[in-house]
Amino acid sequence: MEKKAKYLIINTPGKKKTYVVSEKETLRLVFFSTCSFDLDITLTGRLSRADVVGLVVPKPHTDIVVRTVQKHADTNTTSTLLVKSVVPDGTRVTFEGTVRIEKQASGSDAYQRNETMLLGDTAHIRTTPILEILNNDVKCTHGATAKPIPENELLYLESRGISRKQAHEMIVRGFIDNVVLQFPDLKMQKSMYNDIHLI
Amino acid sequence: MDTLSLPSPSYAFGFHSADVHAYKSKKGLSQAIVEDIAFQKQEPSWMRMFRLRSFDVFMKKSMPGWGPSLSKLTFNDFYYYLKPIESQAATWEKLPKDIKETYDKIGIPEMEKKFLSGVSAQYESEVVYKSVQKTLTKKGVIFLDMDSAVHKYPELVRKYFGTVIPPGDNKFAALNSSVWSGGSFIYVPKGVKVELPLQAYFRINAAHMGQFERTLIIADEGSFVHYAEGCTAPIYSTDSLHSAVVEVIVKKGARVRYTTVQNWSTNVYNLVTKRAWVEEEGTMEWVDGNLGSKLTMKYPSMYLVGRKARGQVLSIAYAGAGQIQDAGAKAVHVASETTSEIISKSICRSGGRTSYRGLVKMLHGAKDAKSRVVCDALIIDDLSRSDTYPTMDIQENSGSMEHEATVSKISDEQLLYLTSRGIRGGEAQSMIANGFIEPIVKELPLEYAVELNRLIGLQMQGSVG
Amino acid sequence: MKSSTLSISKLTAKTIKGKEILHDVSLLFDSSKVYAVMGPNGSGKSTLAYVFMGSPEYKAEGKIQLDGKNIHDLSTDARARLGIFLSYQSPVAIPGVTVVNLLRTAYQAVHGAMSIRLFMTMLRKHAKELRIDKMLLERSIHDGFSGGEKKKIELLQALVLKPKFAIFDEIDTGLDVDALKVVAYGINKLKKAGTGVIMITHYKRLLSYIPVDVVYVLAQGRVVKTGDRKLVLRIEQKGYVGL
Repeated sequence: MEKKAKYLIINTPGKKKTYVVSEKETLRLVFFSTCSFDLDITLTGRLSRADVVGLVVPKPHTDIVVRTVQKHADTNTTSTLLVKSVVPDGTRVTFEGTVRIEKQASGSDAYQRNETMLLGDTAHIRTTPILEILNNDVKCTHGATAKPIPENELLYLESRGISRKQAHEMIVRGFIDNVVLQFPDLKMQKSMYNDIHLI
Repeated sequence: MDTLSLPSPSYAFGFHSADVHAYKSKKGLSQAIVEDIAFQKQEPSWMRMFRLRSFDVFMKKSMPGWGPSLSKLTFNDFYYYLKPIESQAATWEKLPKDIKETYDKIGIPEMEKKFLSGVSAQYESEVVYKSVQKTLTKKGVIFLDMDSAVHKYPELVRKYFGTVIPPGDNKFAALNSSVWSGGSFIYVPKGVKVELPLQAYFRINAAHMGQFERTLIIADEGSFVHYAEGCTAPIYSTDSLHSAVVEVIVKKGARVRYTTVQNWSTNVYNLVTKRAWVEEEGTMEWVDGNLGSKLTMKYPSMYLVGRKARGQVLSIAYAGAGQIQDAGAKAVHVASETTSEIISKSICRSGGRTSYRGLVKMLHGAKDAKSRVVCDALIIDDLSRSDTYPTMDIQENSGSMEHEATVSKISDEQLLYLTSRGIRGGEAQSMIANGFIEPIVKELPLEYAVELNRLIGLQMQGSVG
Repeated sequence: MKSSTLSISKLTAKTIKGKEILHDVSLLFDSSKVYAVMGPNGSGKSTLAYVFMGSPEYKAEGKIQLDGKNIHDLSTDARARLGIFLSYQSPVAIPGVTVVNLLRTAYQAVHGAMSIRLFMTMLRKHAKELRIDKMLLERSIHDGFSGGEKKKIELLQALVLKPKFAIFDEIDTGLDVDALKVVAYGINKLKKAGTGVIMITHYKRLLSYIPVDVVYVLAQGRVVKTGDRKLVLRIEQKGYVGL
């Protein structure tokens, strides 16, 4: 049975969210966080599925740790996780994403991706995507990228008369949009965009 | 105690005559033994002091708190100074059966078989090597064993020894720094390009690789050298701890390629520290093949300290029954416009375990640095395990970093395709496995590549290992 | 080449999940003739090809015989060695395994050893006939190949391996006129050398270049019509309705 997506907004540090997905169930999760938190997802039933998309936007001059776990404990389970992060000046983000496929979880398919945009000169990202695979009949991919705001994109927008500051905002917004726009509440979206402005 | 013989001149190329005696210290490690080693080698006091300081560090340092368990390693069980050229098997007959069979199957020439097993003391091509050495000397290239280098070129060695990997780096570097013996010293002068890969010798020498080899390569500005060591053929070693240290200094505009292929027998702990210091516009290429040993922990590293310095690591690991290949790479971007590329391909089967452990670090100020990591793992059956533990630590916002890893088994579709062409299942698996590692194999010297393909083919079909 | 027969008798094929794709199909193929197996999408034509090869994706019940010998329990590679070849509709890429490597290994498995020089001469000759760039032969098979290149490389394999029967699963889709002509030339050559050609297709395109002797039409997993090349024209004009 298709479940509606769950939406999480995390503004206080130290939270831990645990989800267990049972047989043939699907978990859809969209989250937005400005501070440290832990996300634990275990697929315990066969043919279960978890699709998670998240955005991490910490405040300037903070130090946060985001940990996620995708654990496959049964056969033919699927998980996808995309975490995007925008890191401002003086801030360090540590992302640790684990995908663990247990011995009995054959036919599993796991995907994990972490994309980071470093905004300031002193922005710092440490990302550790971990794979622990104990079954061979699986498909598992993970990827991580860390890039600044592409200079050529900034120049392009400037050549269309847009100020650098505004171009900067537009590009960051474009980067985070596919996550922000998944939140159904316009007020939520607005406050998220505001958080970007603040940095 | 047996009579001591100093390393003979012909050891420079790893050859020895059958009547060299061995010196064997007492079991275990102590300050007295370290002193003794320095004494036996008649080393200058600066090296002796270096060893003693390192021993202190070794005793104080704790075991690494990460990675596979090393709890079964008891330092007091080993001999720490053995004449490096110890025959492991005096006669062809005494060599373990499966190793003999593997030599046959992967097509090692007769002459090499005998030499590898220690039966033959001389290798015909010694003449060839002597003439190559003449060419090298003419160009000003220094290439000899580390022990001799300490005596012959003390200023040069002292200037660089222990600068890339100080004894305090980790417990095993400290161990090596106190008891090292053997290994190579290479110095390439400015602008000199050594065309011939320094490899042929070391294929043969592999059987006699010491436990604690120490290698130091200095490539002066604008020079080029390719150093290759090791053997795809399984090497039976009675020593169960190999802890080598390799330091490479790549000066401005120079390029060094260091190829290692190891296939130690499965009683060996192979813990190696390898690092390169790369200056402006220098290039370092590590090509690493890990096929044997019980446990290998090896993470070729590069510190990209000069502008536009480049580093590359190409790594293949194969883990069969009872094996753990814990390999990876480390790239530290200090200067701007530096690039690093790490490609790791691993295969595990029959309960083997492969782990990729990597670090890409971009320090603040490393403007416009680029890094790309691709690590792919093939798990052949459901007894085996593959893990990836990469860390990317980016403190500079101008460059870019990309990391991708995939873990899968041999695709059914690909198997079906090949079998539908009449190729038997086992052979089809070999072809796919070899195809999987092909991007790295094609960077290996030809003989290694051919043997490696055959070896993987055999191991995939279960006839070996 | 001596002539051969390939037959299936009361064949039912199900996917591993239990869905029945082919129902009670009986067909006979003679290597001296050229066959077209046609039918609308979903008729089970491709499944037929996979069943001939013994693909583990399908469970087949019924008889499959090559020259009177039941091959139902034989593995895919054993069937290939007996002389059945399938040119895939969307062949898989195998990184690191070159075309040459694959063909040499397959040739050796099917026909026995041949000196590398002779083999390469033969291979290059066939590649030239099919207007295949010889650089393609040294590349990983189907890795980044265009649609046309993939089909030609499949055909090249048939020419090199000289099977008793070659099944072409939709080899004409996605080919331009020039490539189509080259493919037709290759298939005709194959036929002349004694291979039984079975073309699975739903268009007339290719069939206008290759004279067909027998046409079998499948619909919804059953054989609904048998005919000669006139049947092809009829399908061209009126489609599959009313057959």
